[in-house]
Amino acid sequence: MAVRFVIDQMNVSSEEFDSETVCVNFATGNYFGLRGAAASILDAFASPRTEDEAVELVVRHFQIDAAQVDTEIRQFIARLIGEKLLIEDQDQSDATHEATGLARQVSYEAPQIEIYSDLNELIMLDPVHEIDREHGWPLRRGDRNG
Amino acid sequence: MQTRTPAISVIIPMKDSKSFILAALKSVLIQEITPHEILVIDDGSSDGSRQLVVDFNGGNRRLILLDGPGKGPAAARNVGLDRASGDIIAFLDSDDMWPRDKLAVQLARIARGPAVDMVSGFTQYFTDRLDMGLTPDPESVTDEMFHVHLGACIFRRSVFERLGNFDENFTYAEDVDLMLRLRDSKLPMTILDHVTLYYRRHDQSMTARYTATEKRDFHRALMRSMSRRKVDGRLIPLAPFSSLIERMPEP
Repeated sequence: MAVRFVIDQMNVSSEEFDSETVCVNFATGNYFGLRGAAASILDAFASPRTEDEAVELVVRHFQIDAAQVDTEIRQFIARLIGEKLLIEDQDQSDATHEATGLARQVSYEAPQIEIYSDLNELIMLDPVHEIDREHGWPLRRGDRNG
Repeated sequence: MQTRTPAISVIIPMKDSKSFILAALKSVLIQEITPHEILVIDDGSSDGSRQLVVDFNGGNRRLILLDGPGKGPAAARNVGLDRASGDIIAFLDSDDMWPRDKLAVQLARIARGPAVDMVSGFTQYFTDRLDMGLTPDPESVTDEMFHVHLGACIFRRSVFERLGNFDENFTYAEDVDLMLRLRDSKLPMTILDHVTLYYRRHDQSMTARYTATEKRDFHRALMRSMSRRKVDGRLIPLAPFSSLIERMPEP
């Protein structure tokens, strides 16, 4: 049975701006700029889906020739998994999941992702409010270099 | 020739802080270097904390109580910034405290050079206590690290003249936005290897998760930083915060 993946809702959040979508993974401390169909492909995993289901959803949304984009989309999904933006769904049952509306873009453009790690320390320290012990404690006084 | 100690304005936004505001004020008043003025901005308290400050003040001319516009901490701090007359600006949240040597240590760094526009330090976190002690009970301390806390920093006034005040469109993460603006501007800053803030952690926040508004505001702060740092479509990365830490000089 094919594995279903889903956005790691606990640690990942994203927001669309004018020309790109900013995505943050609070667990890894990385943040991302998503352009082209990247955000739509990520959106496809708002509900748990297999890779095949997500590809079908994206192709249907953009009304494009699957053969032309299939490899590209699957390679991008692999990047999302590698960056831990997608995780395996804990419930791998065969239940039907709701269709996701991919409302971000009208025309398909190759997905692009830029990965930034320069603010790891800030992001992993839970910059908005209180610190969560589960995320670790970088830059502790006892652990500093030099 | 004696060097004049720069005038220090301390800005404390407050809303319904009756349990902690006096400890915060006392920690400022016992500083080894006396601030020029302490600006408490009451942003619509209804728990009696305003009267507590009035009664505590007892005619101390350095302590000035102002009214905030009721729009949250960013706008309240801006009221303080607009009123502040000091060369050095410091902030303290109404439920936190300063170590007694905070101002002395950070001002000494400014005087010592190399020139910096902002000096931060480490924050000591402690769990909630309702006593009036001005130093956390060692058993209540949970950790000590660098984090983006305004209360751990002091700023030259010129920072705000160059970067502007706090963005009042932020409900949360206005301090993150300011810190990123500061770093993106390449104004010199340093992080001292010394505790400069006691940060009170409240029980209800120990397991809190991000709300949608908090995420939105953090994203906005991040997006703005990304936009400022893009050159020919390429994002110029920032040096890690750890690269800014400097050891305290030998006594």
